[in-house]
Amino acid sequence: MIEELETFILMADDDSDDRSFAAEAVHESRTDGRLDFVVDGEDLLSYLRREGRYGVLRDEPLPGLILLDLNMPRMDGREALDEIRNDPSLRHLPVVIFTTSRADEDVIYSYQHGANSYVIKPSSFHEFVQLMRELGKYWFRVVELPPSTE
Amino acid sequence: MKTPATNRSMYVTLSGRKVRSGVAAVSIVVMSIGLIVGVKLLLDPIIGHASPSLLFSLAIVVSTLVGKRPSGIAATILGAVLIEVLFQDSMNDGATSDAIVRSILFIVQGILIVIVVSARLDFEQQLAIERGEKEALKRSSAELALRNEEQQRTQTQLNQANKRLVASNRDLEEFAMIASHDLQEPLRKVHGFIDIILRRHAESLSDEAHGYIVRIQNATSRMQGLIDDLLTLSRVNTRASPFSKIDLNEVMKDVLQDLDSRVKESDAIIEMDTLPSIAADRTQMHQLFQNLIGNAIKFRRPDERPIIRIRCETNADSESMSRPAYRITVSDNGIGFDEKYLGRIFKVFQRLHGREAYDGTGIGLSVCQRIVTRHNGAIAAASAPGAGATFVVTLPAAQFIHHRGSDD
Repeated sequence: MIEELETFILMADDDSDDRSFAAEAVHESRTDGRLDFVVDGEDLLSYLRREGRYGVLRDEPLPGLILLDLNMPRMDGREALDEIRNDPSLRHLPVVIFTTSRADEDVIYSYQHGANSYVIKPSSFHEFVQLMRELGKYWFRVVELPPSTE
Repeated sequence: MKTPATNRSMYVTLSGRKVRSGVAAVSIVVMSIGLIVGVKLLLDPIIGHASPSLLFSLAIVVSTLVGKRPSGIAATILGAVLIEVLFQDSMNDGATSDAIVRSILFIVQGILIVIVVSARLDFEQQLAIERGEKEALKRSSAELALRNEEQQRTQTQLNQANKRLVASNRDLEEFAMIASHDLQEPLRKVHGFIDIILRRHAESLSDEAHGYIVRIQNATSRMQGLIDDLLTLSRVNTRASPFSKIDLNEVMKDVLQDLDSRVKESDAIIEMDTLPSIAADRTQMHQLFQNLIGNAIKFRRPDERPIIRIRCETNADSESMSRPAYRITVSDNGIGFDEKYLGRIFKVFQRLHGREAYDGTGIGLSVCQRIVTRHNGAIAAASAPGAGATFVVTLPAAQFIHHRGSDD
C-alpha cells in the first residue's frame, strides 16, 4: 500500500517535547515515514555536511525534506537557512520552516531567504498527526524532488 | 430704549472785553457746536492785534465755513465782543462733557460775524474715563496673560501625563500579549501529551483515570481558549490597522459569509438596513459585527427561529453637525438578559450562563467594547429576560488622526 520510500524527513528542533510529538504523530499517521532529528542549527549543518560525529553518514543520502524550527540556541533557523542556501552542495534541499511563531516578519524573512514554505506548529495532537500525513504526501508523492546528489 | 444724549443746556458767560468804547449791548448768540455761524471774514482792527493763535483759529474757521447767513438775534453792536460759550453735553451714563468756545462777534454792514477763536472741549472727564478703561484693560490683559501661562503649564502637564499613560498602556498591552503568547507554549505541550495518552495508552488506563484525564484535557482546552481570547483582546490595540474608508455593507457581507453555517443550522432570518461607509479598521469592524450577530444567533430561544435586525440611523445630535455619527442597532428575538447585568456583560470573561448551557469564554462583548472605544464610538445594550436583546453601536463617520510622535 505504501511504497518503499528511500527518502526521509530531517527535523531540526531544540524542544524535546516537540520532537516527541513529531515522532508520535508520524507513527500515528501510519505513513511509516522515517523521521530523524537534530537539536539546533549547528547540529543541522554538521549533519548535512557529514562533519564530526556525522562523518559516518558520508555515503548516506541526504534528507528529502528538512523541517526547520526558527528559534534554537547556538545557531537559529534563520542563520541555518542562510547557510544551507549559500552552500552549493546543500542549496537544493527543500526546507520547510516549522515553528510556533506567527509573526509576519518571520514569515517574510523565511520566504525571502529561500524557505520553500512556512508551517505553524499545530496546537493539537490531532492536527499534528494530520499535518505529518499531509507533509509526507505532498513532499514525497505530489512533488518531484531533486535527485539525491550523493 | 435710551434717550439719545443730545440734551444740551447752554450757559453764556460774558467775559466782556471792550474793544471799542461805547459797547452798549451785547448779543447773546445761540450757537450749537458744529454750526459755525460765520459768513465772511473781515479784516478788522482787532485782527491787527491778533495773536498767532487767533490767526490760526481764523484759518480753521475759513476752512469750515459753510456760507450760511447768520441766524439768531443780532443786536446792534458797536465794536466787538469776545464771548465765551460753555456747552455741556450730557452723556449716556450721566456724566457731562463740557466745551468752551471763545468767539469774537461783531457786525459789519448788518452781517453778524462770528469768529471762533478757540474751542476747548473738556475732555477731562472723557480722558478720566478712558484712562480708567485703559487701566482696566491693562489689568485684564495682565490677568489674561497670567491665566494663559497657567493654562499652558497645565496643558504641558496634561500632555506629559497623557504620554506616560499611552506608554504605560502600550506596556500593559505588550505584556498581556507576550504573557499570553508564552503561556501558550507549555499549554500546547500539556494538551499534546494528554492527547497521546488518550490515543495510544487508553487501554492501560482504568475507567476512572481515563475520565479524569478527559476532564484535564477539557480544562486545558478551555485555558487555551482563554489565552487565545486574551490575545485577541490585547490585539485590538496592539495590532490595530490605521483607519480608512470602509463600506460596512461589504463588511457585513463577509461576516454573514463567515457565519453562514451557523445561520443555516439555526435557520436564522437576518434583515439589514443599508449601512454607511465610515472611517474604520476593516478587520475590527468585522470582529465587532461578527461578535454581535454571532451572539444573536447563539442566544436564540430554543424553539424559535432567530430573527436578527440590523438597523442604521444617522445620529445627528446638536453639537455633532460637523461630526456626524451613525447608530447601528443589532436586535434579536432571543433569550435576552436582565438589565441588572448590564455592568457585567462587557467585562472580560464575564458570562451570564454556565459553560454547559452556552459555549464561549465571555470575551466577545469586551472585544466589541474595545473596538468601539478605539473608534471613538460607544456601545450600549437593552434587554429583558425572554424578550430579546438590542445592542446599539454608535460610530463616528470620520476619525481625526492625532499625530502623536510615538503612537502606533
